[in-house]
Amino acid sequence: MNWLAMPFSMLARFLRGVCALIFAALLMAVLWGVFTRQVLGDQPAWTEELARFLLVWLALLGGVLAYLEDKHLGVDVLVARFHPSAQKVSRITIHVCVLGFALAVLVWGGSDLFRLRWELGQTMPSLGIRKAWFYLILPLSGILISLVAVAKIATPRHPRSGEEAAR
Amino acid sequence: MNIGLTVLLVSFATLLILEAPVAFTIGLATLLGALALGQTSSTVSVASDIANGLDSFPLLAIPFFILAGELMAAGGLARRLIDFAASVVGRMPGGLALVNTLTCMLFGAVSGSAAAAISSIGTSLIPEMEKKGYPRNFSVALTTTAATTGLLIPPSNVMIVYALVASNVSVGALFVAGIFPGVLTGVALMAVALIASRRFAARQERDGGGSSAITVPPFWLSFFRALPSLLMLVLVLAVILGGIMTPTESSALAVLWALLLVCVFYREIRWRALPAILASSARTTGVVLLLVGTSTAMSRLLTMEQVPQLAATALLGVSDSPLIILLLINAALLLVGIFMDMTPALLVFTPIFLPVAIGIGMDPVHFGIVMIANLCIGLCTPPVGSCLFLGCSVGRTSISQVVPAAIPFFIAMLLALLAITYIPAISLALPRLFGLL
Repeated sequence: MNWLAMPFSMLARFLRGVCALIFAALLMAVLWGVFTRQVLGDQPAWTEELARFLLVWLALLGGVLAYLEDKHLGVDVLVARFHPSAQKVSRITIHVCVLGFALAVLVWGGSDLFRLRWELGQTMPSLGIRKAWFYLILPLSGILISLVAVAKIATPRHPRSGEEAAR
Repeated sequence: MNIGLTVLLVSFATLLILEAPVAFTIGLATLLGALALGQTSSTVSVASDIANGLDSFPLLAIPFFILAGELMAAGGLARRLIDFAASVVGRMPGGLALVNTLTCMLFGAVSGSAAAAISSIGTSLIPEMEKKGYPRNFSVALTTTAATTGLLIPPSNVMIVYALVASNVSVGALFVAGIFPGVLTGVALMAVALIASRRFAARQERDGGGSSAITVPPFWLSFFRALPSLLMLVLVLAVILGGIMTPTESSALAVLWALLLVCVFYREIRWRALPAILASSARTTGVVLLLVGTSTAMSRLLTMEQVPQLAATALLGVSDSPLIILLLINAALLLVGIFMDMTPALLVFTPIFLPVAIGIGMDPVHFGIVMIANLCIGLCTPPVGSCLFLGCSVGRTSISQVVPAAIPFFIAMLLALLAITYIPAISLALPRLFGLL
């Protein structure tokens, strides 16, 4: 029944690793900015730009991780009183809605945005890379959320991540 | 009401009832509202609002304060702050309840997040309080409400969010302005806890526990053990007020300080455990920031649909007395807080209510404190109350059992809110003293 448990916990481990790396890099970028300004007297412009880039990537990947591990905030009083079969229907409905949002906004809207920015050829002033890369996280996280949503729809008792199974 | 707003509200309510994650609920409701208005390329505009809403340097303070909070929660700060609080108020009747409140205030303050306070203080103090005869639901209600005072006492994540939408408001001034309101709310909660614990005293004595049966550590010893944690508060405020760092950078400093504390000074966390803490902080960051992203999109749609102007006309049409308008805004925010978490509520409703507040002569710093004090109540009320949920899961009890026990605390918070709203000096005296206004 839990044929998705394996790939799920692998995805969760991978995401946790990536998120930890981004978070550490984010911290270093900001602290380096302070250090260079206050101690060396000259703050390079890339620290802030890199920090904002990493922040958006961290936010969306962290959002995927939270969805994967069912940590997003939501109302938690009504559905528990429903009939079990109605509970199942409502659970599936939510994941369909999440799937719809991820596909429409993140994947579709996000990849449009990526393409538009790519065609504009705008670059980030101090990092020297295309601004389009900044928006790539939208379709990327959209695809990940869609995959997780499909898996949650397919296995109504959705597989838990490794961390939660261990508890 | 126009069709776009109707679609937005109906889909928001429906998704909320189905218990969809709030971040996605807000995003999807915004998308449907924009589609109903017949806007071209709604999907692209929502997507770009999410990305551009998050692309802001001040927001960086959110992940950093979350990380600092998780480090402190894992690193044994709770115990040291509990000992310190016990040495201050532990001897009084109802001592343990007071210790709980004070510790939550201190921990919420140094970590900048209420969630970290609930999980670390609650885990150790709720079982302790039960042993001493306090009903579990009472302890959960107390911990949950007391932890939100940490959002008023600096440093505070939500103040940075408010400063982000309310332009021309200095985070430094907000931080300093929050100190007295936070302490006032905490004292109000302590008063309720004291009165309530008299009722439990009889039972305690029957059980042979004795109401003063908690161990009270010596003041100076516990003070020096807790001092490095308390210094965090001073350090963060000092670098901001001294103009050495921006509030965002100070949050990175808070992380560094927390790392130093838990890995080097207290030695409670091994370096090897850090990636796991980073990852779970990243997950919490994702929860909060996805809300920020989708709320930005919703806020922009509401602004485009002239909702701030509509709200202003409606409010000013009821009365032109500032007293009544503030009462109405507070009532509206309480209602909002019931259905929305604090961060999205600040992002969506600050642009709507702040112009009205400024119009009746209110200082934006004071209004920010009022909004946060108000929405703190919403964090503890169902159906959307992240602190209440966390408190219940930490205390292993259910929302329906905790809410009756929490009602006296809600009343205390409401009274404190009224005082904060109508006596501007509570918020503004301190920033004026420091020359921040």
